[in-house]
Amino acid sequence: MHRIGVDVGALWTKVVLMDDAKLAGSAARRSTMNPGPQVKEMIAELTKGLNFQPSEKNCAATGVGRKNIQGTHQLTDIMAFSKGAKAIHPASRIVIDMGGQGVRLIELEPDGSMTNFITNDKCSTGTGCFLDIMAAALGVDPAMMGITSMTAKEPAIINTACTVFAESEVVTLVAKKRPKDEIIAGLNDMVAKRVAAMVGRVTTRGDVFLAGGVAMNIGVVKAIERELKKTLIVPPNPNMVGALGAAVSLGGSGAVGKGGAGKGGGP
Amino acid sequence: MITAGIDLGSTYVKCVVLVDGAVKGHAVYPTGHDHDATARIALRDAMKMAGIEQKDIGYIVSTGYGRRVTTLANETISEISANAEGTRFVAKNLSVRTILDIGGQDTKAIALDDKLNIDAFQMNDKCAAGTGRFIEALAGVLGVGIDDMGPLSLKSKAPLKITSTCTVFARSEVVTLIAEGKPKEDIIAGIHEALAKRLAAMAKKVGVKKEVFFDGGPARNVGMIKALEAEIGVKLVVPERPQIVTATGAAILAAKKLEKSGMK
Repeated sequence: MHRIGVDVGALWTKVVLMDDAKLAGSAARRSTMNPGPQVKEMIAELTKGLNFQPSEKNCAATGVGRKNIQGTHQLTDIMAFSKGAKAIHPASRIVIDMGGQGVRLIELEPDGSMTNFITNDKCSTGTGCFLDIMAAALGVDPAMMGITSMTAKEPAIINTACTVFAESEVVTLVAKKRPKDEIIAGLNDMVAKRVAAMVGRVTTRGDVFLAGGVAMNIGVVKAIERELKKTLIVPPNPNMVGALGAAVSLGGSGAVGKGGAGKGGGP
Repeated sequence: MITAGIDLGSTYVKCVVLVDGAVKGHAVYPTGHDHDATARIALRDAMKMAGIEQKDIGYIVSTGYGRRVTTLANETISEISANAEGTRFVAKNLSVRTILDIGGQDTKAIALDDKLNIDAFQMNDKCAAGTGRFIEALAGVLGVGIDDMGPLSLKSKAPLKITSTCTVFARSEVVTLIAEGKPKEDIIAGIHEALAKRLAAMAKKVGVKKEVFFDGGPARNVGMIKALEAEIGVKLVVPERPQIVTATGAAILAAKKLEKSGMK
């Protein structure tokens, strides 16, 4: 059976197509002011030739803009990311979603049920938006930020956490001819410290699963690993975890890529 | 006796020349990249206005974010002390007990006791949401000059709510409101209200007794004054030149220093 999961994020809209427990396709586009028609188009492209009719039974939506996607099953980001993380890496105990406009941490029980979550969507520091703004200030492609930082000898110290003030700091550092890789490494360290502080606030220990578009940035991932002194679980397409979780929430599969485990999932 | 005060802010450098207890010269310049160079230009203009030369100045005190960068000053002082001193001078005969000083990158709320000494203060330099940068960033999105924000907002009949705290998110919110065709004046009035809420909370933390003095660049904005008055619930005392209160305080502290040392 084919299922669609949609994640209408603040910056990007993601759609995945699942064929039973297998990921059959995915797409991501910049979010627009009018997500309904955009998502309809994305679904049509992914399901071309499948005679797929979107309904509440085979199509689920999450993300800040999910209410615009009518006629679908709806679930919160927290639920979607819990389910997505659990499906990809069943041993996940802490799920961190680093999205475009917010950072969330979810605590999971060994059976995958959610016990607690912390959300920061009041402040843009450490979000995808933050890194996009810094990339623009540096004249670097946002997708290249992670790789670019890897050659840094000594990360620059960024004193202010606020995105607006940090942007001024970056501009000053560029004017002082500080190498870009060192500035980016400094930004990554700052982001990592904030994420580590969030992890420090919870008591759950175990595998930490990193999701969201920011997890595509290798520099940020490595910096968080250094802060936490721990290897993180980062899926190949971390930006798709929410959409995947939405699709999985429709039931009918267990761990992704390991064959269906029957309705309700789990062993 | 002639002294000067230089306030090197993150956004503007302000300079005041004080001649025998009266402000005779003042200048305001965008900070730019070289604080020291800007400070020299500001001092030159303030001296010109006062009709004096640098050799006439007995003592110079610098304050503000970049106070240690300039080599002009004989001494530096924190902006909290300088601002309180400036307020005591500017609002001499009033019963001001609370000061709200909004800068480009920081905001200070200061409470004075009945002897006008600093009793408590709050400072926000961590988050742009409660500073002048909030208005500046959103004015940029709207394509409205910073000096036009106040007058435009007064035309608003129904201010719109800006729900985001973060300046960056508020920027996206304003972009959406513009795209929805919402009137500019209603958006601007909403921006002032959002900032006023933050500032009022700070003022209340240090305590609002008697009169509240409002200075710093945003105090030139009539819309900001109106929104703050509505939020705090008292009429604000706004000086004629709200940008130079801190620099004036630095110049006065310089004069006091000279007097104490027994020089002319």
